[in-house]
Parts: sequence; C-alpha cells; structure tokens
Amino acid sequence: MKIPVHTVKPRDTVARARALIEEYRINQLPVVVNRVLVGIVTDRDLRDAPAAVTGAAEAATRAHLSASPADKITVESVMTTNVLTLTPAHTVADAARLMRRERIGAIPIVEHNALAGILTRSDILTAFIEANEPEGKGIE
Amino acid sequence: MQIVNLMTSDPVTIDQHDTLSKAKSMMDAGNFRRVPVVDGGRLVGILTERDLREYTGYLESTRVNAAMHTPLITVTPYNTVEDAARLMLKHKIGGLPIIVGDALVGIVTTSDLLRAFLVVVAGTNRIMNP
Repeated sequence: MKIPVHTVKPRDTVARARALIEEYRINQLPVVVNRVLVGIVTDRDLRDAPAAVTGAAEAATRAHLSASPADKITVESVMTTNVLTLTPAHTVADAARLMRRERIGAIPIVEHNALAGILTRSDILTAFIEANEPEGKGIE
Repeated sequence: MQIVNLMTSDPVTIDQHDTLSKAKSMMDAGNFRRVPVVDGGRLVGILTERDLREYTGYLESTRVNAAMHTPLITVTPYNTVEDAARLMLKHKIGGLPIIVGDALVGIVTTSDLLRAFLVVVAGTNRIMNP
C-alpha cells in the first residue's frame, strides 16, 4: 500500500483536489479531518462536480464562458461518505476481491480510526507481477 | 499465464467516424469505461470515459477520432498476463487492446488482472507485508 497518502479536507475546493490528482497522477483522494477518514473523492467525482452541483446544462455553458466553478465548490459536496475500507491485517486478496465486487479503484486502509494508507489497483498489479515472476523479466 | 486465457474476446468497438454521443451510449449500455476504435476492421485508437469528459457539452458534434488516444499500446494473445500488468503500470492505463497483425481480437483490463491475481495468489499476503 502507499504511505504517505495524499489527502484533502472537506472544505478544500474541488479545484485544489483536481490539482493534486493531476500533480501526482492519481485517481482517488481520501478526505480526512485530523487523520480520520470522512470520505473519498475520485477523479470522476471531481470532473463531474460542476454538473452535479449546479446542473449539467448550466455547467456546460459556464465552463466555456467564465471562470470554473471548481474554485467555489467544496470537496465535501461531491465526496462519497460511505467509504469501503480495510485494515492492515486484511490480505491483498481481500482487497482484490473487494475492488472487483464493488468496481472500485482504491481502498483506504484504516487502523485505530486513522487513515494508515491506500491500496490501489496498481498495487494489486505489482503484487501479481511479484507473485508470478520474482526475477522481473518481461517486455517493456 | 497467457493473455489469451484471460481476455475478453471480440469486444464491442466503435468506428472512428462515429460521434462521441454514440460512444457514450455504448459505454453506458455496456457498463464499460473504454472502447477500442476501428476503421474497417483495423484498430486505430482507444476511447476512454475520461476522454469523453473532456468534450462534455460537445458529444453530439465531435467525432471519435478527435478525442481518441493514439498511438496505441497493445499486446498479443500470447504475451503473458505479467507483460500486460507491467505495461498498464508503466503507462498508467487501465486496459490494453489485444491484436494479431492489425486485427483487434480482444481487450484486457485491470479487472481481468484482479481476477488473475485471485486465481494465482493464496490469500495469505498481508497488506502491510505483501
């Protein structure tokens, strides 16, 4: 899993969250308050944010006429609050199963109510490669 | 394990001259996030849900070939699943078209690799010490 995790706060703007996602080339950001996980926002949530909050037609017009509403919308208004999590004691297979069943890209890892890391599909791919070809041969 | 054992064969495709709104309808109906783009039977690109979002408001008036990704990163059915995993990690992509010559024969995605992982790995790896 990835430690440390890039995170945002509920009152951060969608614009800030988008900037983090682009800078670090990630698809999900846990939303935390004092290290406690309160939600998660995905790349998809953030791209859809103007439409979700202001109505699709208005957003489509505004996006091309004036400044982006992403500076005004907060993360908490677009985040998912019912987050699926695992603990460090779960297996990578548990995570793979949950990702498949729920069609999600990442799972925050929580320990003692605090965010401890995040496990993504990339981590599963890496684990798969290590499990199959420890010498690390293959095409580039 | 070879990709041929894991891939989705004969995937749904879209023509490069079709509109993005048609592509979106196909993706919504099939519940997938990427679709190979063809010209005749030849693979020419791949279109993802993310590409569509860049054209919100203009889906009806934009052709697929204006929004699709090229050049393509592809594999053959006889590459290994590990090869596919490495390419997806290296290029940060979620799916690979599978070709023989110029012809599209399948597609493999991270979801297929999750399934492969579950097949080959016993459930003993702790997240802290994978």
